[in-house]
Amino acid sequence: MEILFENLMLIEWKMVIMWIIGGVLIYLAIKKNMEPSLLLPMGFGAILVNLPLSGAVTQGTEVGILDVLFNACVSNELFPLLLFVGIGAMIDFTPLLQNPKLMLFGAAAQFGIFFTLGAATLLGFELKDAASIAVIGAADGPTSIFVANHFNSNYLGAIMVAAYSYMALVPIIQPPVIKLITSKKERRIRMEYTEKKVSKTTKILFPIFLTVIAGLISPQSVALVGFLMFGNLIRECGVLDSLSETAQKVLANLVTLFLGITVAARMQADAFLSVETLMILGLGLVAFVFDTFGGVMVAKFLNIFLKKKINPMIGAAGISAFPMSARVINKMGLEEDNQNFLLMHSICVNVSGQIASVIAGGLILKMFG
Amino acid sequence: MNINGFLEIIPSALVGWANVFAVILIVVVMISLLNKIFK
Repeated sequence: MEILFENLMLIEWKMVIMWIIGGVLIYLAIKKNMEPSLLLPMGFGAILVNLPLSGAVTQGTEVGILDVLFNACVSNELFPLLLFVGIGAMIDFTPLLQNPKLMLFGAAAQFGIFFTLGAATLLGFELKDAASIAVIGAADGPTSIFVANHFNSNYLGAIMVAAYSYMALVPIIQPPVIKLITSKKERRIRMEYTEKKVSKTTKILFPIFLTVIAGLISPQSVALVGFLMFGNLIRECGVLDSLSETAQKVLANLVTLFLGITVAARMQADAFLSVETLMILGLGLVAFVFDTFGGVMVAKFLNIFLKKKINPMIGAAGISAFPMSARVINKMGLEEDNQNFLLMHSICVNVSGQIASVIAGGLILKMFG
Repeated sequence: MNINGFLEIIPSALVGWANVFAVILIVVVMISLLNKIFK
């Protein structure tokens, strides 16, 4: 009979807390529909790895399957890069190609990354950990994982939880920040939209040229940018429809299926339950808030010089949480003026945020690698 | 609190953000040229 209960004596309070955290992530995924494809596997994985002597992780000489998956597919950045192929195949860059000037707001909304870099350094994190934490502000899971892995950050689990949780909370985080720093008059600014034709040649050459430009400037970002653009090239070339569909659906789903549960290998209680985790969760929120702040403030600054004003809210859509942020901005615009449709502009900025966040991640790797 | 480290990182952080703008500006020019050449 003892054999049934001997493991019960090995339960520690930290493990129980991690079970609760895992349960909360699962609850948020199912009941609140918050990034369920990642939060549910992470939540379940958090429970798996925090059972006493769990066979899912390495115990002495017995190598656990989650550690096998982590070493084979996450620590070498394979999973995030494969996911980027799928994401690239999903994204239609046409709105961006129609109005490339709005890309500036994608750059503006990466302010949160660099602000958080300073904040994390102030709180005592080492430079490479601070840089890894700062990239939560990229609002892009694969980029966050890629950079954190590259820097061998000890906080990968916390960084992922923060990144994906806050991405799902964009509709709650952004509106109060935007309302605080804009006036009602500014939020009611109307922006006209004229559809412009973009040639197929441009759509094909764009991912190729972007990869070359980013790669020449920051060689460390070639894998990140290159895989994203490879996925997009498959989509736009017009002769690889089945590959494009596979990348968008099967590949993206397959990788997502394993990514969340594998990252949970870094959510063991001893590593996860620390003051640093709480600080990282706080810094992640700071990153998202200041991404929003940066995008909006650059738009307000440009409006000083522009005759035809920009609605500064679209600056906030430069955060890479696609398409949620674009929808949030459109909804806020309609709340102020039910004839003000900002969706096409905010989608353009939101898509450019995806590129800008990857470029920012690459520059962080170059500057601090 | 690592105030010295914070003060040291500020210039790098600002330069980093500026660099993102610079790269995006190059991309904007690239796209504009592509749109002009391939109408």
